[in-house]
Amino acid sequence: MDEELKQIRERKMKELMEKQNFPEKPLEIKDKDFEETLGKYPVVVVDFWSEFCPPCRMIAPVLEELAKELHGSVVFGKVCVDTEREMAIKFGVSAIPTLLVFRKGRLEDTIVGYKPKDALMKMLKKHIG
Amino acid sequence: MNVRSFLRKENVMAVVGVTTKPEKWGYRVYRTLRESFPRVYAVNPKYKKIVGDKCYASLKSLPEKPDVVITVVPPEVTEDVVKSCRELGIRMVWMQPGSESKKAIEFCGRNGIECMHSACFVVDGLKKRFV
Repeated sequence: MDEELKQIRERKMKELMEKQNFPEKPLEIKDKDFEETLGKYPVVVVDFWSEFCPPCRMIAPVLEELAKELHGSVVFGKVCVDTEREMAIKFGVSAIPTLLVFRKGRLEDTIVGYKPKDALMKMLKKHIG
Repeated sequence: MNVRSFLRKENVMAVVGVTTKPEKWGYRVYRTLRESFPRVYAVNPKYKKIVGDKCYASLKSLPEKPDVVITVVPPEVTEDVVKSCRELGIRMVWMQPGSESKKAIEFCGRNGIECMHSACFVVDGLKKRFV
């Protein structure tokens, strides 16, 4: 019984430590760091954006709020298509903003265009296991 | 909805709300699409020509039916544009940011018109400037 409690305590401690390592703000991701970032966290949402795109500017504060609210479950990243093009081309990004949802490094969902916070939260909750 | 279906090379594109003013989106959208698609038509009743190309007064006056209509007009004009799209059997409408209207989006939904809004499109796999 003691052993079981010890294991639970260790697991909880590990989860807590991992959660603390999750960023609370969207990370700026470069093409060269893309794969590494996906491998680091279980669920990563990557926003392909540009400062010249009005809907991208609209969705940015929404993603910042979601990054705080889903802290510990989802990590958000941003790829600026003005300077970083390789991953955008690789994943066939044809419109911005595009959010790619990766779970354990695999692409699970693509969300195109501005969406309100509630709608995004609903879409993202499907991927949090 | 598949965004890529809007951006197939073989699509006939029509830009409603083109302008001759280089600082305006209506100009940038048309110029960019013209470099990326073989058949792009300019629509605006105010102009006869834009960057040397014929500018048509309406969607109805185009020599062929476009596959995709891009709106760069005020939201209330978009509401009329989607009605013309239904009459002409046009199935895809991309409302550029600022031209979208709730009424027009709902109209598209009711009439089986694929509608993209709240996004800027990217052409040629980002080799060219997005608009």
